[in-house]
Amino acid sequence: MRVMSQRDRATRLLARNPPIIFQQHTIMAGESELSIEETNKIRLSLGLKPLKVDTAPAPGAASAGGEPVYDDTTEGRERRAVDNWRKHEAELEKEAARKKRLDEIKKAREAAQRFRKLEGTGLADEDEDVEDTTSWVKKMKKRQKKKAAEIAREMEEELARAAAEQKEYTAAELKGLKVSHDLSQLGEMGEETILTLKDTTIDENEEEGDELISTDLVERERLMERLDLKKKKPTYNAYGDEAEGGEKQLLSKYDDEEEKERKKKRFVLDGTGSLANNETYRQQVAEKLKSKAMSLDIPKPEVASDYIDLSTIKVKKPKKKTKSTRKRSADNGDALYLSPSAGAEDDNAMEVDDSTAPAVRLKRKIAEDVSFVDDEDLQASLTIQRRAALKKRKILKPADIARQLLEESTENGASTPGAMDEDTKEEEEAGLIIDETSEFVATLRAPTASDRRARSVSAQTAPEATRVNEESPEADGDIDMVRDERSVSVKLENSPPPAITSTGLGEETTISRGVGATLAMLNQRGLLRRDPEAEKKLELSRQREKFLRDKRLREIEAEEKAKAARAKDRQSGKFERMSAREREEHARWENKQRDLQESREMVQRFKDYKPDVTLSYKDEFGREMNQKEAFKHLSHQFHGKGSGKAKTEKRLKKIEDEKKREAASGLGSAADNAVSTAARKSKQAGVRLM
Amino acid sequence: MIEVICNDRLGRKIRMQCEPDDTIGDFKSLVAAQIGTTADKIVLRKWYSEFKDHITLADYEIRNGSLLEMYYR
Repeated sequence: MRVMSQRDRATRLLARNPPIIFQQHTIMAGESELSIEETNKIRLSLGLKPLKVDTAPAPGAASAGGEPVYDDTTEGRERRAVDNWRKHEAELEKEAARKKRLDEIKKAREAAQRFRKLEGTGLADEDEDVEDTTSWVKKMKKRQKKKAAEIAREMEEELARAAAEQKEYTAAELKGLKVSHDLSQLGEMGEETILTLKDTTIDENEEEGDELISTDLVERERLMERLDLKKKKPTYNAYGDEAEGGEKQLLSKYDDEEEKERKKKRFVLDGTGSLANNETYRQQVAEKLKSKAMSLDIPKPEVASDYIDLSTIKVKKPKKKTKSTRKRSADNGDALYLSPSAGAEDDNAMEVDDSTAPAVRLKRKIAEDVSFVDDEDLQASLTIQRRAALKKRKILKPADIARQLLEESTENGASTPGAMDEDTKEEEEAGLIIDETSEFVATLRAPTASDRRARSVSAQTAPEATRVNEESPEADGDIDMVRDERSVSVKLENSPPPAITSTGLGEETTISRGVGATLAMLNQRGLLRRDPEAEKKLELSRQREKFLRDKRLREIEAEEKAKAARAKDRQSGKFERMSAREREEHARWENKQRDLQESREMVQRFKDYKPDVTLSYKDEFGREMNQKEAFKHLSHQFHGKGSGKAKTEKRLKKIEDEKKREAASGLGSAADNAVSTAARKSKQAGVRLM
Repeated sequence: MIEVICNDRLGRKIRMQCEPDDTIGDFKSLVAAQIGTTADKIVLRKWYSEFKDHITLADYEIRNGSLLEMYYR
């Protein structure tokens, strides 16, 4: 673009040349112009240099060197620029022409090169020396001969090769081949072994030559290695680095596979192909025989083991099942192994005992055994016994159990005949038995609604009875109530009130001995339930209070001590000897020491400091907010926006309601309040709730 | 030497011969000599840029045949 604009300017300038032109301008109306002379006059009067009037360069004005001379006027300068421009243009043109010429030359050369390949006679071109038939026939014959000779040579080669291939190998040809196995190993393999060439890379083959291996042997070796790895021998060898073979090896476990390979024994085949004649083999066998000394002593008879072999153990199958259990218990030396007397009265209890208790006990026994003697045999035998016992127990039939029960009951009957007679009779009658204990247990169940109602009813109907009940610590009243309800006759036992009643239960507490006793009773009956968490909290708060008290006490003590120390210092006249600055320094040091000690003590204190952290959020009315409300509140604070009008109103209303309810519940009855709220809700007056 | 045309569009149109290295002040005094208004009353302008007295015509790129607006203050 710049070039273009320059060119434009130049052309414009050229068009305007020569500069005299503006003398010839037609002066339009209203335009005033002074002549150059007049202007020059004015200029002179103003103290300016006169105008330089450019004269058109005469062709003879060029200097001797051929360079045109430009005078120092505007026109002169412009002429110079124009000349320069022309020169530049000419140069550019010349350059372009040169380039074009070069291109043409290059193109021509390339074309020549391209067509050089096509020189000579082509297929389409006619042969220059057209053969006649005789020469052609001659040529063909020559060619045929040549071909025949070639074929014959090839045939020969082929035959030679075939002959080489068909040649039979003998054992003698194997002479000098390496075998990468130990001779003895090969001997162990049997009479005949098939050896194959080892798989190697070309490099290895170049280095070591052919090697023979037996695939069977290699396979076996690999298997052995794998088994060795599986055995997980400890890598640490306590007694030096002596390997099994007696060779001294340093950290042999880190040896490479290649190293191992290298250490393998090898031998070289001789011409015979059989081991028997192999010299090295014979030598080795002889050495082996020599090294192995044979003892002529008669081997000692082995001492029999203390434990019977596991396989020979046979747990005897006892004839009677009941007997077997007892016998086993005797064997184990555990009197509590089975507790038949305990379970005599209740079938269910008996069953439960039988199935679970002995197993557990046996296990514990085993554990004890193991802890003393780590004997696998014993353990194994015990497990077998246990398993058998369990199996047998599972098979027990109800009939058997019944029989067992009968037997046991008769045994018990021998000791206390009267009571047991009754029992057995009743058992035969198969009726419902209700005695004092079972009745009491029945009443001990969680207090249900019906129970409580019955109790209250009975209290209303028979207040005297309850009074009696309160007065006497006996379980009279309770039983009476039960009798009222269920009309079951129960034999009562009248006995003096001991610490523990005949029922085996603690004496019932009464409320006649003050608030503590009342509380204790309520507690005992489970009416007043203490919250374990609350108790824990109480304990914690107590601890905290104690901690704070201690801390305050300690602080006071420390202050006192510091005061005393300061007073002592003052008295001793220590300060008299110091300058003010020293005194200050001393005081500071003391303070620092004190602080240090205090902080150390605090650390000690804080070791057993258990803070009870509860986050409680209060709203603007001082109400406790629950988690949800607190979250909302925080969120609103964070985002800098509150809930809208409706929600705020709702909340305020809720709070007000709450307040009202609280006030009402404090004064009037809750039921009244409920009724009124329900009425308000349903917008009806006088609605009965029930 | 260049020729510059000054026009005040009120009836005065002047062709001035001058040198490109004349300052605007010189040019103004030349114009003043021609039209009879004092040089300090003349304002030369091209569009919105007023020419300053101490700067030459060449610096303002005023060339042969350029047209300047002339105002009076």
